[in-house]
Amino acid sequence: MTRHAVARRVTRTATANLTRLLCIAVACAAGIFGLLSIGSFLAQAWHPSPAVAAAAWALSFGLPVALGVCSGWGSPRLLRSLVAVQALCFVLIAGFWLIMRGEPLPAGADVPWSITATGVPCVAVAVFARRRVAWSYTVLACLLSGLVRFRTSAETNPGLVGLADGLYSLLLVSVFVALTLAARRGAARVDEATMLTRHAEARRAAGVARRQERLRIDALVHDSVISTLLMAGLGRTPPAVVSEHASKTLTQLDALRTPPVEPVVLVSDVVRRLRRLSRQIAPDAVVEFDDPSRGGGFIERTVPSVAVVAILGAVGEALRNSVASAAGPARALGRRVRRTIQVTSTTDGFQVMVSDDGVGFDPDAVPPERLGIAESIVGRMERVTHGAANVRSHPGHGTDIVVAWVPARGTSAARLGPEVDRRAAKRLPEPAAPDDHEPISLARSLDLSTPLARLILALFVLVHGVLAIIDVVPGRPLVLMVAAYLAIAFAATSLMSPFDGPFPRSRIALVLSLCGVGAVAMFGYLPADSGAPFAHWHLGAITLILVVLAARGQIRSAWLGYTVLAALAVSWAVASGQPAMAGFDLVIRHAGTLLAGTLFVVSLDRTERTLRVLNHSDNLQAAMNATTVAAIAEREAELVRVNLLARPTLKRLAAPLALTEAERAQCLLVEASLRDAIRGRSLFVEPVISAVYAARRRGVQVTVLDDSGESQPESPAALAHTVAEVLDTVAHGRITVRVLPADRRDVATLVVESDTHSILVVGANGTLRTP
Amino acid sequence: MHKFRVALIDDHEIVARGFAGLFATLPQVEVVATVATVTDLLEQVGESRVDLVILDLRLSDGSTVTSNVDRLRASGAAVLAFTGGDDAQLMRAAARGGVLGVVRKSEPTDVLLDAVTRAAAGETIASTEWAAALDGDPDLSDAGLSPREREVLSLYAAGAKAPLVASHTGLSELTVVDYIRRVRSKYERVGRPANTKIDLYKRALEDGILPVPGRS
Repeated sequence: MTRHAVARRVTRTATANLTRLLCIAVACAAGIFGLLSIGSFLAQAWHPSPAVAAAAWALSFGLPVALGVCSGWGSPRLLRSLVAVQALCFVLIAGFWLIMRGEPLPAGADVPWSITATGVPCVAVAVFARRRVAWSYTVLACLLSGLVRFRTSAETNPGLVGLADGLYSLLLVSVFVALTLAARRGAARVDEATMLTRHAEARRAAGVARRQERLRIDALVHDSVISTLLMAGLGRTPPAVVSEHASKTLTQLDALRTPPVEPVVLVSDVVRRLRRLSRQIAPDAVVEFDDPSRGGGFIERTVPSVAVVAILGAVGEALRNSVASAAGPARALGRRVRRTIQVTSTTDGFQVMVSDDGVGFDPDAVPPERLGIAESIVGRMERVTHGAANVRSHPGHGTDIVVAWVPARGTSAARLGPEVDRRAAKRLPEPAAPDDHEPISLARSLDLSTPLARLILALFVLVHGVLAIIDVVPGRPLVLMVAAYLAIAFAATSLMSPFDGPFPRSRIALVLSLCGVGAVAMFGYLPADSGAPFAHWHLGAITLILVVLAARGQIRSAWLGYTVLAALAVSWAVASGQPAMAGFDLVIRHAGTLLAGTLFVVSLDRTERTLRVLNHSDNLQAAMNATTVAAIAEREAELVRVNLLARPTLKRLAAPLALTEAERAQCLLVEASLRDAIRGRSLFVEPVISAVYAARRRGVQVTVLDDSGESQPESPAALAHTVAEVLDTVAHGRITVRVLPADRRDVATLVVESDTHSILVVGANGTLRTP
Repeated sequence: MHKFRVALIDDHEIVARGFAGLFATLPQVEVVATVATVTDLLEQVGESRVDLVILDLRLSDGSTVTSNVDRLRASGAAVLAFTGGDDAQLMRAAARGGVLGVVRKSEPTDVLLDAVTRAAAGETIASTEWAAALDGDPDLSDAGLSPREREVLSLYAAGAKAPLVASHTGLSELTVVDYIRRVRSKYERVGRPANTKIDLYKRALEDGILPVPGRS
């Protein structure tokens, strides 16, 4: 894998996904309302130039459809431009109507087609623009909509009609714009959280990989480099033997540079993926993870990703086999099969055992055509380096299938397993699996207690109050209409109240019953043909309530409510001596609104689910990349240091010549430096390195220890400075410097055994004192 | 004169031979074996008793520190860990296994000879590295050390030896030495990390059968 590929960024975001989805929802809504508007368009055709009129219609509904079509591949710039053109077109067309067509339209078709889908451009703007812009455009569009209606209404009181229409548009459009903005906020939050998780995960994985790589190099340095230098320095070994060892060590150092770093997966990730696999194939299986580290402390290890792929494939096959055959032909008798998946991660490798207590089989008698076990399990594992599989089964005694990755001893990171600093692994939080997350769905994240939501509710109550007043029919029992209005207003209010968890059933029943009462009362109130422009305001009002109900996750209830409403409308039409179709006509246009709302909600929730899965695999990928990058970087850094320190001396040792006294001393100095680099890591910096070197040359015995683990001292520079100063004052004798574990009050201790003996302590800010 | 029977295990033969020669200069020590693995030693000495085994913490035969120490102690020998300056985790494993102490190979000759002489007599060898490994153990609280024992251990870890620790704490040197002996035995009693649990897979393959709990 090249570094470039490793560093490739993952660009899939919730926001990008949401934008695409909202564009498609806008396109669907435009399609629906475009079809519904054909009748009005034909009735209202502009005679001076039918071609221009057709072009205007095509632009109004074609642009949003184009937006939906382009959303999959179009650049954000293209999509934004489409929306801008669409928003402008709406304003221009409405302006044209205001100026050029300011005369009443024929009664019965007096709602201009151009304002039948005011919400479409508004939602499109809300998908891309900032909150303030979206709301300003919404108000502008609804204002224009009301004005156009005012100019073209055939009613006796066009001002009131225009006002009511504008307000009603504002109400309806506000609901959708608010939903869009809420969804965008949700997506932004998801993106932010994902980013944080991904970074944390990658950091954690990189830390583990770095530690393992460091230990791998340290092991070699200990085994070969330090031994060789020590032997040479102590002068107890014949030069020929030393030279042979030095050459061998140099070869080993060179070999370390060549093997490419293998991508690895953290064991915790493998276990998580196994759990997911088991849930998919055999949900009843019990997954047990045996982490044999003492006292429950978790030792994070890694498994090569090639082996992980094979293990997951083989375990999947084993589970499928078990599900298909373990219950035997007598499955109908209800034999319960217990399945367990035992995961073990040890110094020696990684192993998964899939067991069941089913009917079992005779492995020798498996016909060759049942390749499942032979090929998909054993073959798959055997093709992986250090992979192995074993199948044990007896008729009547269940089946155990073991798949494992067991690297040869002493050759790889495996032997380094237990040395990984358990404390460091424990300190890092285990990232939660995606399934553990509370699902972030629109239904859950919809907060209806905001001032905006209350404003929309107030608008709802006000608008329908105005409509109800406009539509007072003389001679009809007013009490029915007042009851209907109150029932609907109460239904809307009870829909808004905040609650935790899923929408309570009792609340759904209340909302739907109130809507039913309102509808029945209104149908009882209305004569067959009132002639009023908003006579059936209750249908719009109830539909809007149903849209919000759908948005709160109750799609089925919403459509049930709509069906009852449609039935009531048809019954009313028939009862009042009209054709059933007249009732149907009344409600069909509201189906468009509810359908648009439903699409919106369903697809949002579905994308969120997909996104969670995708995000999870992205996280794994990011973690894997991070381990590779970190391991390469760590290896390079360690090798540079070891080579810099030891190579010249090793080269000299490789020549089979007797060493001088000075050369032997040099060997011991280099050996000590290498030891410091490993055991006194955070102090292996200047000016300490030079001070230690100088002290040793003076004959001082210097020991440097760093027990701070992965949490290095806060101000390393101050500490290094203090330590170097003390080192410079010691002329002979011994000095021991120790960086303390992270949980201590002080940072380091110094013990000097020279002319005087003293114990010194370095505080957090680098100051020296006696304890 | 009684001589302690001492064996050296180091997989770098030149290292082993170099040190064997050095330890053989001690009048009270007889170096009875210089081998590369624990198995080699047990085969070579057979039934005869070994007083002290000086064991390199890293052996390339794939054995672990814990199993090596366990096998040697089971054979009746005391163990002194010998190290190139390895990381603390290995020393902790050795300490839990019950070694007398840990000595760095690069210590000056007189320090090495003193350590081997005292270890052969069964004394605790509280080197700075050994004390630092124990003092830095995140699970040290499991050992249940008294505050005094912890203090003494910390001072050893800082690099102080018995006389300095004694003057710093106001204790007698004998008491300090006694404290450090108690630290060693308490730490050993904490037990060992379970990472030496025999690997299920290997056992399964060796037996040709996978043992499943609750089924015979």
